[in-house]
Amino acid sequence: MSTEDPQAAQDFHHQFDKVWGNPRGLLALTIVNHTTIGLRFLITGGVFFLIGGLLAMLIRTQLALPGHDLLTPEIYNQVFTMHGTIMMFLFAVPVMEGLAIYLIPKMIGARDLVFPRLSAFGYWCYLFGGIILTFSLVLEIAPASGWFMYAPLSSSVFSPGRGSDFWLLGITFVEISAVSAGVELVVSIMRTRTQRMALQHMPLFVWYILAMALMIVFGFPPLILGSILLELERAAGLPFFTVASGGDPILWQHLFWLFGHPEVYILFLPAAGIISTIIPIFCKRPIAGYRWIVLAIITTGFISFGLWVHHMFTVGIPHLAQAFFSAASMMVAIPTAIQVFAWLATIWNGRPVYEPPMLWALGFLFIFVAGGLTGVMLALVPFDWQVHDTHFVVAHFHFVLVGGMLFPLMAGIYYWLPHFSGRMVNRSRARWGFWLVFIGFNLTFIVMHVTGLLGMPRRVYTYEAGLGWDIPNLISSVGSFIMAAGVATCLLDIFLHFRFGERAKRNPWGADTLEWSTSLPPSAYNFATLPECATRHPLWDTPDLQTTIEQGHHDLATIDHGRRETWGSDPVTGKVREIVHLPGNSWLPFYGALATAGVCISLLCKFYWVALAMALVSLALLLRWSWENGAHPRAAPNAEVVEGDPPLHSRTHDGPGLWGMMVTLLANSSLFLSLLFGWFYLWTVAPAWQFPEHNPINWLALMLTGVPLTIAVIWFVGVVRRLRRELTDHLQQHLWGISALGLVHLIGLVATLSASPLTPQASAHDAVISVMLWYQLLHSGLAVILTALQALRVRKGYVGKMAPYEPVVVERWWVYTAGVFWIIYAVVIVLPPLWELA
Amino acid sequence: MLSPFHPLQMALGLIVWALYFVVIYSGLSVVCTHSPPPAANAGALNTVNLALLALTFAVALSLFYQAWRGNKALRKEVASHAQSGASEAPLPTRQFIARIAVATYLVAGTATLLTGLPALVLIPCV
Repeated sequence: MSTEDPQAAQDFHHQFDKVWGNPRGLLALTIVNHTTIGLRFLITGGVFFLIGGLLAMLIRTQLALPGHDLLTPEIYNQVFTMHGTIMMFLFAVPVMEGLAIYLIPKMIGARDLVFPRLSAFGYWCYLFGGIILTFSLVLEIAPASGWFMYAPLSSSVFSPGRGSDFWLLGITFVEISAVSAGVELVVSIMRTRTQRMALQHMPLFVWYILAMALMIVFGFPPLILGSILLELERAAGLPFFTVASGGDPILWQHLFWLFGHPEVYILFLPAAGIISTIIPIFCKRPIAGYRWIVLAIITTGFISFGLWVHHMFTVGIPHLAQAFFSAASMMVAIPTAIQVFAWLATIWNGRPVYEPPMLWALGFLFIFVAGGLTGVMLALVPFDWQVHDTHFVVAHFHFVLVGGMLFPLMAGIYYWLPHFSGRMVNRSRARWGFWLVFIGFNLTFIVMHVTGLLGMPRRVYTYEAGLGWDIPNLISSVGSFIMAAGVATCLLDIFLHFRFGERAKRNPWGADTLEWSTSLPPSAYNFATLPECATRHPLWDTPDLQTTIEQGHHDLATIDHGRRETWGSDPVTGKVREIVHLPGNSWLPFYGALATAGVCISLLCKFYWVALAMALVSLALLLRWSWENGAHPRAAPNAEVVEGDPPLHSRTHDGPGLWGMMVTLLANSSLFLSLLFGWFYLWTVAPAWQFPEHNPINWLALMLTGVPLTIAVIWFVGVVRRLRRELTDHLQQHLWGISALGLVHLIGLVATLSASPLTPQASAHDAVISVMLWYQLLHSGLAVILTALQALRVRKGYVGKMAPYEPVVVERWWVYTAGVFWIIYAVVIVLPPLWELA
Repeated sequence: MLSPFHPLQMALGLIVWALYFVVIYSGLSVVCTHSPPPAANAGALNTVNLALLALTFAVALSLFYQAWRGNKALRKEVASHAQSGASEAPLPTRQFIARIAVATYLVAGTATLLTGLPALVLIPCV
């Protein structure tokens, strides 16, 4: 399709709107389109930012004067805990994800993310989890143990109310959202780039988001596990963190910071991606050192996982072990410095224009470099000991987080605002906003370094006069109010621009990346036709790209089949391999998240049977979601494509769903490895850990339950191999047989577990084994259900020779489940006697 | 052996570094808890540190070897590309991957040395 006739072009776009358009009113809850979901994340994150900011103002007001009694100690504890929690979990991560969800498909030349219902589900989980958590503030029962919830302070003994439960359940709920976005972004970037966009052509922002998403996939599960264990300790008395029963509170610190330090880079990397996008545009030249920056991104992604113990330098770890983490903490500054020098070189060689986005980018450079330098100071163990838990650390991490995340975010918002709204901001108000925030921030936090060096500890609700802290605290408080005025000015500017802003012309900043080739604001399908992109600067090389896309001069122009489609491409070369058909609007993500919120609220109220019922409802909804896929009438019953186009992904053996399963299993294995780490940690380090005289698990019975599981896996692998050769005789019977065998294993596992004299409330040893076996039960149960559903789908004609894709996906789950079973067997049954022998 | 142009090579060096990091940290923790070196052997050069240093040098050497191997393959690829008369711009994907991979191996080797070298001077288990 290609037309230059305006009427024909209008009809052409009208057809696309019919397939891709967003409904209004109540039906807007069914929208799954990435543009809408991304904006919802951004707006909701903005609201949480204001709530977190309000709490910061309360803190600064309380500390402005010595002996101030605006807040009681109890409320102050809740306020600083919720300030950190909201800013980290409900603002920073979701907003960065929202920006990525909005931008990534547009930058890679796709029409949507690859799992749109997952984006919507993630958003609703985030919203409901955030509301539940924030509601605790209104009830005055908010968590009060710090944003890191250290045990034993957060345990039921020292925090007997519901505050810690709100944190643990609410945050776990919100993290579902983060991990689902992580999976979605990885697969979308790897598998749906437009024709010929090879790795070396990807915009740097996309590289940064790929690293961020992979870090979320590996980094969030340790905290999810830690939260589950701590909640099990609080609610059911399983003593993972209780020394007397063989647990260890330091395990919590490890699990928390295994997530917590990478988290800083999960926030910094997308922020640096914004900077790497903006600086070349406002310097009118390509970025200096593209390959160096890619190398720095990969290096940061890895080394940032080797720093977590630098938050624990004072807990009594041997000096040599501290030196490993100290070295890694200093090394991570090197890739960061590479990026800083690349940005400086770009500015040096360019002709900088100081538009509002560029101002925020330069503000970032100043503040982040300063924060990085105090970070290197803190990486030195003796210095860290001196300033640990003082306001110096508070000042440092605000420099890193506000400088490294908020400033680039504001740069990005000002840069992409014409994309969101089709209008330009008022430059004068924008400059006022920037300078107020910049001056206010530096006044607050530069001085706070001094307060810390003078010895003022963190998390104290007040202080006595005459300690030398009065003046610096007052200056910090004044600075924070100037910063708040700056934020208010920016918000006013952004609000007003939607009504009064000058209309943005096409590609208003003269950018080079594909997102600026959509209409402003963009349509739900981004591109009517998908262009080739074998360059890093498509819009600089082909300035009329938007016109040719709109006139239908590129690929995948057919829409009369009624399917939402985008390219599925090779992860390395970007060569098109299949057409990915995407699901349309659906209530299922909303209802699924609502049911999951029901689980969360029921657990908070200790209505455990209701929680179980809600969990089953949630599972049923998610399974229904999986049912409407592939050749289902609501997905792609008709596999016809235009001659010369590749097949639909559901008619191949290697669609994005397979990648989705693999990345999900990576996240899952990160959680399982964290559990194994917990087992070995308590075994080798916990002071009161003891193996019972006799293993409570019957080794023979457990081994026998593994036999049907292993046979089922081998059988499944064989079935998939035959399916790849298009041999589908008795496929349904095979699948029923595998499911039945899995059921035999499941029954055996339940019988073994119930026959075992485990006392999970009495010892950490039994508690960890119980969690491992529950984890196994969950996986085995899901394998049985998924396989039974596959058999039903074969019967319905949704799976078979013409649509062989789904069993390939389920096969991975079986292999993982069997692998986990035998690893559990090895560490619980085989290793302990060997250790005793050694 | 994985081809020097395989995309996994871009991360493999740092995956090895991460595994090395886990092994030395967990290994040291377990040794210090269950069988710390005897007090008479209290200097930095004892069996624990020597084992750590040996592992450090072995891992670093293998990473530098991989960087050398990748660089050799890359030069060969560039030469054959030049002989065939193809243009260097835009840089072909294979070369892009190999260049990043070589650099990553160098970074990982250096990171391994920097991580392990404190064992030359610090007493373990204190």
